Amino acid sequence: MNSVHDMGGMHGMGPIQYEKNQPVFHEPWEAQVFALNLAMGAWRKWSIDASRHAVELIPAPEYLRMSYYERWLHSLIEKMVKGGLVTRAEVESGKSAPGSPRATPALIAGAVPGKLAKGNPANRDVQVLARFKAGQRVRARNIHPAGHTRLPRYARGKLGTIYLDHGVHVFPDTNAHSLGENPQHLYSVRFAARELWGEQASSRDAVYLDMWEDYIECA
Amino acid sequence: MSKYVCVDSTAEVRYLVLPERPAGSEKLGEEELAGLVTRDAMVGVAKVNLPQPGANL
Repeated sequence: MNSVHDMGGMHGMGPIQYEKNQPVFHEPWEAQVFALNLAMGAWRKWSIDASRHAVELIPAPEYLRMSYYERWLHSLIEKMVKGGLVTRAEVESGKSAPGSPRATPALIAGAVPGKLAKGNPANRDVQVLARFKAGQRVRARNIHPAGHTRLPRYARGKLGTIYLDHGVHVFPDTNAHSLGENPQHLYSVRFAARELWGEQASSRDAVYLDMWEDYIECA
Repeated sequence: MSKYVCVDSTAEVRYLVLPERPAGSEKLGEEELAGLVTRDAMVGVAKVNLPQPGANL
């Protein structure tokens, strides 16, 4: 969806605040939100793509006002309500509804290091024909999906060159909406800075984007 | 003139930058070199620099 999260190339956001020795968490509550997200994600009611879409769905004025982990907390509540793990009334009262069943946690503290070390790979070991190959000139499709997409607006319609094939990966645009993993080739595509940003950009600079096959057409 | 390459990691693929060894570091061993590497160098937004002579390490 074309919302404010897709900031690439936008002006007016102010300078990047450079923080020396940036801590992993700025406040203890941020670590709690991170842990909550992990613990609730273990119920497997949503994918990482659905999680990202839940963040995108935060209305633009609120999105810009919130900090990173405030967005996580807001979207976690939305995911938990949608996934049936909690009701809005329970979130508002801070108490579980009378008579609600006690669940056995899907993830306990001792299992966290192993789970984090294992990760959650998005590549899939399936044979899918690759339509493109390294060196080929391609164009990013000019698409504007109302749902989740990871094709930045700044690249749509632009010409690039396939740099390498990352193999077969889950397609977020369908996976975010529980429409299937739709595994397909993912490519690193090189876009010249001038193609993206015009003549004021250096002819030497470039942006490399990871693009799923459905984002690409023959140039 | 520097050449800038920006990798927008839009997928689940993550990238680390192998920092360029600074000139004049030929005599440094692995541990000393590792001590020079910063977070910014690993994400490719800063070069690795040798400590200035007299700097308090």
